[in-house]
Amino acid sequence: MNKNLFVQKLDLPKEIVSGCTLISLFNNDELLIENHKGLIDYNNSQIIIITDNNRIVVSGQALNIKEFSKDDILIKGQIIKLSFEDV
Amino acid sequence: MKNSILRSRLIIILKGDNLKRFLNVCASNNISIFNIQMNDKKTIEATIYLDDLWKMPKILRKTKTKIRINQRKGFGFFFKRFINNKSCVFLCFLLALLIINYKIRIWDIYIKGSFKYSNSEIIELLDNNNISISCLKKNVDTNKLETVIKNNFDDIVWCDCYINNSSLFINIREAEYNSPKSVKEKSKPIIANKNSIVKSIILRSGYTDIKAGDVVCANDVLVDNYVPIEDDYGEITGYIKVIPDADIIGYVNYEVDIFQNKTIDNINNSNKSITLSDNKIKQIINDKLKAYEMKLKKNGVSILYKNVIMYKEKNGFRLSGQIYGYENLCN
Repeated sequence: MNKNLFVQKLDLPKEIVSGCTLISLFNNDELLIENHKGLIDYNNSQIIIITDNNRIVVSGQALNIKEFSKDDILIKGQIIKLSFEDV
Repeated sequence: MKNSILRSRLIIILKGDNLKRFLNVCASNNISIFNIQMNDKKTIEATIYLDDLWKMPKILRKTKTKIRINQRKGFGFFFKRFINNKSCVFLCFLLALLIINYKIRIWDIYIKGSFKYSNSEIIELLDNNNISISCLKKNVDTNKLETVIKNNFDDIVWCDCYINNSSLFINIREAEYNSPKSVKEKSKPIIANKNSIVKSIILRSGYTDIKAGDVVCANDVLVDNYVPIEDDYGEITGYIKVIPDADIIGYVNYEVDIFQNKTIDNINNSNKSITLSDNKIKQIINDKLKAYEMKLKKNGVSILYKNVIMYKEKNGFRLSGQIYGYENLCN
């Protein structure tokens, strides 16, 4: 059985079972990305994070990584744009 | 403990060409990095836990990154600085002394269950036995204290004393009712001590058949100590023994008979005798009557009127008759 179908049938949380990326945005000043694969670029106006399928580009002002661990990245600052690029 | 605020933290400055690689390798090795601020392209400032620092040398070598500790934060570093300060050590010593002093003394006394005796009465007793606030715990013998309290207060039937932390707890139980033994001892019927006509009755406990206007003789039972228990049909099913209590007011006649001799012999142990005049004798008899009336009043008799006659006899004067009044027959 397909993994995605299995998760869908049993109504399980996808980010835990299949390890897909979970992105939580709080207003436009806090962004939490779970199940990432690494940091590609980082400066005050742009942060690029790689995930399983995409490359997430966070653009904004005074961006700051508050927490960086194996699974999570917590970004704070004024987020203006969030875009996804294919790997 | 993993993310506890008690964990020591380091603010570090990292320099190198492969800083992003360094961050990714740290993350993959379960090293959490916080508050990452990029100062310039080759320098970042970040916060790490102290225990994660020991995992880093290999990563630093691999990514050719240099590390410099900028600031130390957390309880561990604070405690180390604190220990190095002599005044702080003295303060700790003083604090320890205060704690020891607090632990070895009694600082509060709690008294529970006392209704008849006030707390101040019990505390006064404790003071007399050298137990007060701030006395040493080892000087307090709780078993002895229980005995002292029970001996000094009759109504306290049970007492429990114990010391918990720095407080002395005294739990007391008082006798809530007269014990059967005391009822047995005090329960006696009220008996009339003289002949009278009953004026009024106030019955508080006990049983009586007497009504206002009845004539009672001396040694009659006024209030019985056995109270009959009646069922719904008015039949007596048993008796209960009580301590009788009542106020029974009755009219009583008091006989008066005062005699005064004309001559008084052996004045001041001499063989002389004097003869009193009639007026003087009458005055003496009147004084004796007044003294008798005063004596009656002191005994709780209310005098209504008197019917007395003074007449002359061979040797002197005699006053006889009756004083009519009322008093409480239950005294």
